[in-house]
Amino acid sequence: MDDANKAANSAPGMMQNMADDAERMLVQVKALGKRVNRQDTISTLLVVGLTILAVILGALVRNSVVNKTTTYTDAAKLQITYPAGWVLSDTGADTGTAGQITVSNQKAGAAPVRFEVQRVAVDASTPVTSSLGVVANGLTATRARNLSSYKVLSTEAFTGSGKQPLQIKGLPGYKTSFVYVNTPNSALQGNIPSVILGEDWLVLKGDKVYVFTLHSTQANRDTALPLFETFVDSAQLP
Amino acid sequence: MNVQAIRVRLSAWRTELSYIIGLLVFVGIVELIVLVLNPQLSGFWLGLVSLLLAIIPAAIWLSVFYSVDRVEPEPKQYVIGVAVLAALLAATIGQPLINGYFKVPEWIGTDTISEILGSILIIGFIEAFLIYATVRFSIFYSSEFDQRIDGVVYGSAAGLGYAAMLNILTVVSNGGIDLGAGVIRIVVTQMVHGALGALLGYFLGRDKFDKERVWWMSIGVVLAAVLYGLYSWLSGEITQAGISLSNNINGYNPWPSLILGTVFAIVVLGAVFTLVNRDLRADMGLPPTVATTTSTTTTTTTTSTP
Repeated sequence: MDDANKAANSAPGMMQNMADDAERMLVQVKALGKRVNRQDTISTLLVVGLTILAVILGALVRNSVVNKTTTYTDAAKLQITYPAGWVLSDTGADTGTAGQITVSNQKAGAAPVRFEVQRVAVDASTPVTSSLGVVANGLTATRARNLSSYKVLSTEAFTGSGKQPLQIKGLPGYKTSFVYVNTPNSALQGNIPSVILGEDWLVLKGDKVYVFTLHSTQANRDTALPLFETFVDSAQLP
Repeated sequence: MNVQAIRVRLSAWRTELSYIIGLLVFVGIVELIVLVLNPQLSGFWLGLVSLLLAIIPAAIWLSVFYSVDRVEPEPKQYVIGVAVLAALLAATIGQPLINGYFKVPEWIGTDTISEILGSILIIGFIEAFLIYATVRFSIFYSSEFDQRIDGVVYGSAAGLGYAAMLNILTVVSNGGIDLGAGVIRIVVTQMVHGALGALLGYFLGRDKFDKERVWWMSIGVVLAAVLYGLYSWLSGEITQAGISLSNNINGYNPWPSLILGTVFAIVVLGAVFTLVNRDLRADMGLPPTVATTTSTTTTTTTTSTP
């Protein structure tokens, strides 16, 4: 009986102790939770900050290379300046009448932009517009044979209402816009053909016609055309 | 954690390796079909087959991690949900930033230094962060994320979801892929992103259950970004014509990237599972250097003894 009474009397005390313990534990858990949450927050903010910092540094790298150029001079002293990192191929334009120099951003993926320079010897005594027209027609005939669905979109030999002869680089010029369907040249394209828009800018200097050509898709034409204009402007003809 | 669960987790590495082989077999089957039947697909059918090829490896890989965690499996809807979330982040943030805003493909090949730095600082960090964020801001505080290995499972799911979206976007933007070379690209993308997701998941798992220091997770993201950047650069180098002179498709030879991607995935996953096993052994009070098979048997026997 005594034991029972003692137990009965001590029960509220035990309950009180248990409640106190539970309260202390709860406070500890809450404190731990706050500490953990604070640590998690700092950890997350560090990751976010680090990523932002890395991307900013990446943007600086990008800015340092996008306007970077490379210069190439062939054996005939034709000098071109093109975006650094593009791949150059010279198939003998230095021979004077055959071959061409090609630069392209091959690593850009499925549809790289391509610039070409080739030169054609002409009779210096022939009228300027005739020489340029003959070379342009020759290019058209060659491409019509070699390219799929090749079509000339427009030609431009004169400019303005006064029909002044077109000038490129301060020299007599001639422009042709064309289109063709490109067969796949990359694993990413598969069997899907792509439509390529092209520009021929012909410049007559001495007894040579220099043909600058741009090949690009519709999607990257807006980016490619200003680069092509810079490419042509910066070329130094011998 | 019961003994059976530990045993299954200790065998995760062997299971993982066998599924990598499974993916390679998948590539082999597709290549064989292309070689023997030479299907001339175009238009809708090419797009459909390409999309299927883009999705199948993700499904295979997800099943890997699901089978690894079969003793206490993660809810399918959570695993798939994380993968889908990562895919959405890839489509809405990752790729628009990388290709649209920074226009990385236009300048990444300028020179070796800028290629490596660009791959790490922009592509690597953006992708690593998005994979991290997918897990960190979705499943991380869930009661289902209750073991370190769950970090690897959900991290991998995020990586695979991200990779699946990359593959789908590639297929859609090109209207299809060359089946022979394309399937290699797809599988490599899956393997590499899956491995990186697993690595980030390991760091997330440790971060949650071991209460690591505040910079712990930053180390994980930096490591994943650097590894991916270096892989991306090296992969670009070895797939160019000239290093491998055979089987190239107009200057693009995908086979070296398959070898590199496989080695990369095996090394990264090997490291991850070695670390997971080491942590488990530490939990059990076992020395970290004991061979897996022996220690597993010993553990089972000892613990089963009344």
